[in-house]
Amino acid sequence: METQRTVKEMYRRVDPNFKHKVLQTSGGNTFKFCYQCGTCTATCPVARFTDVFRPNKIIHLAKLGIRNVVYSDSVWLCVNCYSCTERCPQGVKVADVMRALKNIAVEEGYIPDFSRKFLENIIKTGTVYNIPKSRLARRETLGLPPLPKTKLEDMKKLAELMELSKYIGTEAKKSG
Amino acid sequence: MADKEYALYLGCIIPYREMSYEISARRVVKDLGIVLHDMPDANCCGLPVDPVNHETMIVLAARNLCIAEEMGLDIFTLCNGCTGALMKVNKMLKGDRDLKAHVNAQLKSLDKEFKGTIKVRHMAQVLSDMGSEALKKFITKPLTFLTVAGYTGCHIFRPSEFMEVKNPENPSILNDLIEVTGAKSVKYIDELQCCGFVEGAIDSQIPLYLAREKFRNAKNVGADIMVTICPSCHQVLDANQTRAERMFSETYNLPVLHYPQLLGLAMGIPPEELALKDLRVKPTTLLESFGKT
Repeated sequence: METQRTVKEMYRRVDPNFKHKVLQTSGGNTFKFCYQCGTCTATCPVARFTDVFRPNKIIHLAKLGIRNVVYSDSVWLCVNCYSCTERCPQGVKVADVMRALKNIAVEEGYIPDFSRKFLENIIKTGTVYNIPKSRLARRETLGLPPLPKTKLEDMKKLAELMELSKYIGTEAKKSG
Repeated sequence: MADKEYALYLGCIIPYREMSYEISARRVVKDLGIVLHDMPDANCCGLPVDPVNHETMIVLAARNLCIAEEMGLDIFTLCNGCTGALMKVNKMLKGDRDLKAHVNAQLKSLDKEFKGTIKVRHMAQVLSDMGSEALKKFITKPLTFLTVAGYTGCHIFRPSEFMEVKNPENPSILNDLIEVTGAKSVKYIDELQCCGFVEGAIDSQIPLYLAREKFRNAKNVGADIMVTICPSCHQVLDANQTRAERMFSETYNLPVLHYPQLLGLAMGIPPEELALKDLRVKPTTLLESFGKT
């Protein structure tokens, strides 16, 4: 994913209402309990091997209303393994908060290419991968039953219902 | 033993890249008297779109649950990610009347309705529910010569509020299943830490670092092979093993088996029926010792 770390100047400004936005987003409501002990970061497998992902720091910045935290790559580094959520002494569902922040970023047009590809494939095939025909044919030689097909009509309806085209249709917002 | 029927939910990664898991799982459960029915019309479990839109993820998962409800069968999964998404949404919808009404309103346009009549079980949970004693009756060639490092993965027991695990800090589900085969199951440092598969899309190096830790720690306690119960974990540990070796200039040569392959060997199923040759890191030494027993 291209770096989105340098963000437009308008997002550099502090937004005091941002915390309310997070609280209202599904999964974000527990972030207010964070008291910055850093247990999440200590237990995070990603934080061991990169210095740009620190869950407690992200929560702190979000609380302060520094919105550009959600437009950066770093929230997308969360692997959603829930180690932090299990161990948080304050009951903050850290992984869910990260998901809420990602959802906010996507709502505002910052969607990574791989997520857009996943959505496209789900609408086109029902699965996140566009499985090549040769591989589907190979199932037969391996003695496996054919892969059940998804009713694509339903996927199309679902895409309309959830307004997925707004995520796919637009080009990724480039920062700066 | 009474036959048990399930609706098999395959997910996306298994038919795309990990058919050896499907082949071996289907082969093994057949001998255990479990009947799997393919789920017609199933779609993505929803987990990959959770970061994009949480509501879409719930509707996608609920649609799968509805299909199984129509079949009147519990869902049988092979992938931890799918298990996590389906089990979580199943529990969320069963426990929250408002959410259920909201999701059902959306499912209506797809002619589906969530009723809450089925359960979601991962293969490992189904086998574990059968009990060690019942499983041991099927073992004809105990793998006593083998030391195995099990790698459970994340979503089958985290977040524990949805996953009904007794001890989320020390889940023994896979260790117990390995002991059933007669092999020795070893514990190692950070065995519960994520494989980082999802990270591959953003930073392809982090999963390799995480894999290196696991290979080193597993080898330190004398593991001959590793065993996984999730296609994503298997991707990182098996398919990426040579990449990790090149990147860190180290040699691991640690075969990573799918659990049903291990169980199948112990049940006396011929290795060629378990798709062992499809593994990237070939279990040559294992098969040699196996041939001698």
